[in-house]
Amino acid sequence: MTAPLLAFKNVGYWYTDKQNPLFQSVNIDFHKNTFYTITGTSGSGKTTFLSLAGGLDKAKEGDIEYDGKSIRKMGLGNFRHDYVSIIFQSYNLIPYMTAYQNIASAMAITGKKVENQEDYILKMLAKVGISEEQAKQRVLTLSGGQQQRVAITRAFCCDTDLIVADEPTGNLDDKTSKEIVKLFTDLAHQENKCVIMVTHDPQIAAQSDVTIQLSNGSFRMLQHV
Amino acid sequence: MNFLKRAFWSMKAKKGKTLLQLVIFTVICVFVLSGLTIQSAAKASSELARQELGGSVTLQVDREAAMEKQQSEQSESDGPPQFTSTPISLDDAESIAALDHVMSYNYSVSASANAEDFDIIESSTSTDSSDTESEQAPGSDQGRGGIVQADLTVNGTLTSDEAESFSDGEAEIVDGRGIEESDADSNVAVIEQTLAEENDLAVGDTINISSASDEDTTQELEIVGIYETSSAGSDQAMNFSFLNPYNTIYVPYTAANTLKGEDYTDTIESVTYQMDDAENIDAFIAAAEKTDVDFDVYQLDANDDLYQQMVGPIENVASFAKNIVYLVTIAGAIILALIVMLSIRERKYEMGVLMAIGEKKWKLAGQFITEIVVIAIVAVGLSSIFGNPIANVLGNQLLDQQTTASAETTTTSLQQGSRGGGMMSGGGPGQAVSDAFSQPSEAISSLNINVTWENILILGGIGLAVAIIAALIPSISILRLQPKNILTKQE
Repeated sequence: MTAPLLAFKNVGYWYTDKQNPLFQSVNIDFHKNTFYTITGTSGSGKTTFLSLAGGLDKAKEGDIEYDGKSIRKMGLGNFRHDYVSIIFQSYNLIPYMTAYQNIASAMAITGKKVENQEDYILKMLAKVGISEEQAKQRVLTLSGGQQQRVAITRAFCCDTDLIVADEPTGNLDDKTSKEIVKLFTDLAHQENKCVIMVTHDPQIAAQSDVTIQLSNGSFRMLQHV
Repeated sequence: MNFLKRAFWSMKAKKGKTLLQLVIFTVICVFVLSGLTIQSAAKASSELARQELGGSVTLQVDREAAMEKQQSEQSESDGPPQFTSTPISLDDAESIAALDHVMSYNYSVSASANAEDFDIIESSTSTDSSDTESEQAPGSDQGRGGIVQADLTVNGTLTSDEAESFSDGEAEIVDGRGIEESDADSNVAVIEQTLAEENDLAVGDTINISSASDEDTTQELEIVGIYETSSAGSDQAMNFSFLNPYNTIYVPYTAANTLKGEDYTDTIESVTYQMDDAENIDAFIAAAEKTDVDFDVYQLDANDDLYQQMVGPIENVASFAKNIVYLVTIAGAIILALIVMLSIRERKYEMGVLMAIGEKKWKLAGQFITEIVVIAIVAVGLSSIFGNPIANVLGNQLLDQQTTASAETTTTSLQQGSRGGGMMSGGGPGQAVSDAFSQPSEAISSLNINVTWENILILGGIGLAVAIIAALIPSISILRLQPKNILTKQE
């Protein structure tokens, strides 16, 4: 068994009352080349769990390690900057920028350098079905599905090993959802990434390699064949 | 420097907001630049005026203190009030003349005399002295000789060129020369042209005069120069010959002292020190007060009325311009900070996204500062184009208002002064004031306003500071938030 890319070690989290934790003593390892889904009822802590995995929040106790290094010690900002890409349900693109500019900005922030950046970005966008013309439009003029594809391409172009996604298909129709899930699966298996995705949809969860079910602070892992 | 590119993209995408901020910033810059330009123009004008005018300080008897002293002495003895003037010793005058900032100085001694071998210019309604109310002749001493009538006013001076009438341009030598420093102890005189013509006198002739208070004291004076006066004289000159400007003669101060009596040897009534710069008047007075001169008896009066009159309106404009700079800068910074604050609050989501990607907080603040600084640079550029004509209109309009107000005040004061002042002093501080009032048109009536590189640099500094403060303050509060909080609330 290879070393985990991301490891939760005795992680506990609560909002205000330590006696009433959302979850406690969580020990889960996440590996590359694997597509994980996290399911659970509303309020079960799926998004909070994903925030911890994406370095948007700190664990109240325990530690989270990335490639054997504590993300608390390296700093959450540095962790997000260097090692993780986050995809949100509401896409979280910068509204005044074009699709191309959104991706170029993210690449500049994370320091990802490629030769002939414009061609590279346009090619990557074309792969998810965004034309050059659409790439140069302001993102708000694109449909929800197209915006989510741009957000996924942004994560892909930043070329981090860890990609976390919070219900990225939540606002999309079935057909588009399937296409997006296919993109995540390909990312994990073809690009050797670790993809962690929160979803409500059991059908999407069934397409992942591993499903982690959250219920009343306990975690149950389901390995899909 | 990705944040610079983002700043550019943001400004390009939000053209309306960028334009609004640019208009506001340009208006602020134009006002600040106008204020700065008016201030520097006013400073340059007042410096020029100061250099041209110089300014003078007169050492003379403190009449008010002397009167108070006599009043207190009078209350102890039942005698009539007596005014005893204590002349200034030459040593005292010279000790002050040796101080810094004195460009030149001139003595003044006033005496009265009667013509012995020539005719004075009679006033049209000249009457016998016994019929008229008495008028004190210059240099006569109430305390010693009572009220004396005389034909001539004798002005003793060190150099006549620096006597007030000559330096003001009221009197001008038309033949021969004026009284010079080397004439001290000589019996020479400069007489008025009309008096000379009336008596067929010319340079080289002699005249005889006698003291008005002591007929036995006579002097033979050689005429070394003839001057012409443009003075119309006072109303009282109709009644008193010695007040007629044609009957004024200039002699060395030593000759005037001889007429006044032996007690006045090596003394003078007043000394006028010409300053190298009116700005140094206060420093000069402070230094003079540290000398051995008894300032319980004497006083130093700054004769900077003309300078004050000239630069008064301009200083008011400069002061107003300074207030404009402060007010507009502070108000502008507040208005801009509020606008930028609102704009940044709207962009909380964008900041959350960028922070989630891993952008450094200082780069986010850098983006906002860059956006406003770019606007500031364009605004400074635009205001340097529009600032000059606006500053000209604004500055000269303000100066017009101030000059008019100043002239009205001067006229009112002059009217009040002429109603109240019946006693003619025949020289001294009163005359200086009336001279200043007689030239209201001397006030600086226009400003040469030009935007200089220095003004633009100062404006650039102010603009940059305003831009950074306006962007930084609202940024700080937002940057304290965590990306999760921003994005969670957004969702």
